[in-house]
Amino acid sequence: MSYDWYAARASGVVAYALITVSVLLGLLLSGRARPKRWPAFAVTDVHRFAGILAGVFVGVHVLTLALDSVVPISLPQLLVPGASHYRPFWVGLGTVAGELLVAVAVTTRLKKRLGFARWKRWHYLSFAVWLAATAHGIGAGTDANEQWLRLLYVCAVGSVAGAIAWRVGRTAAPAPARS
Amino acid sequence: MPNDSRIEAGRRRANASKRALALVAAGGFVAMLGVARHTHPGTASSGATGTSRALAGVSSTQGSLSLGGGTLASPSPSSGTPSQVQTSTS
Repeated sequence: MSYDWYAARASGVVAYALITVSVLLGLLLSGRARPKRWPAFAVTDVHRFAGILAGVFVGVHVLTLALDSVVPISLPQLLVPGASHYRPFWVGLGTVAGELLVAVAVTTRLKKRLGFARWKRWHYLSFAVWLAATAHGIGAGTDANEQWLRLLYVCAVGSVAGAIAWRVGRTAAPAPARS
Repeated sequence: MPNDSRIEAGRRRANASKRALALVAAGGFVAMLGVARHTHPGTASSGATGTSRALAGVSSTQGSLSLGGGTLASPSPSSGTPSQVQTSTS
């Protein structure tokens, strides 16, 4: 029994779900959705926490993959996109997603120094993180053919696509006419 | 102050949501461990496709390759006998 192998797969799925939650909350924030009982700072707090938690599970995913012997991938191979012998393109996408996630975290930490406009441009990388993570899971995931995981991908892609459409619709909608 | 209580309520909700998110993530991780073990390529009923998926492109330099309950014994050139394949599912 290789528990590293199970942990690697489990942490990958949980990290993906958390990244999706964080992206959805981010879209909710940028679309200025203001539920009565949820002030913006509270949604921001949960959004950040989901991102941090996703980072923790991505860390577990990378470490357990490095320790695991079922699919032998070394730590350097996990850190350099395309260096893995196992499905180099799809594993490389996971590496790119992880490294972009670090970039998003660092730029968020430096938000005050960067200024809002520059930070926001960097923060759009979150979509690239989510897209790369989706493709990585489908292309490299051992369980990608399992029905429950397909359902997770359909729900994640559907909800993020719906939230993006809602967000774009809010931007494009004309301002309410003054009486 | 009603504004303070609104901020306090928001803070409480955020903290409760973060706790819930952490619990769901931890619970999800444990549940996924079970699912991953159940659908392990070496033990799942659809193991043939799973094994080929999991090991596609992997070259093993070791003498034998172990997948959970099944073991493929490497051929021994000295004995001259055909290699034995042991399979077991758990």
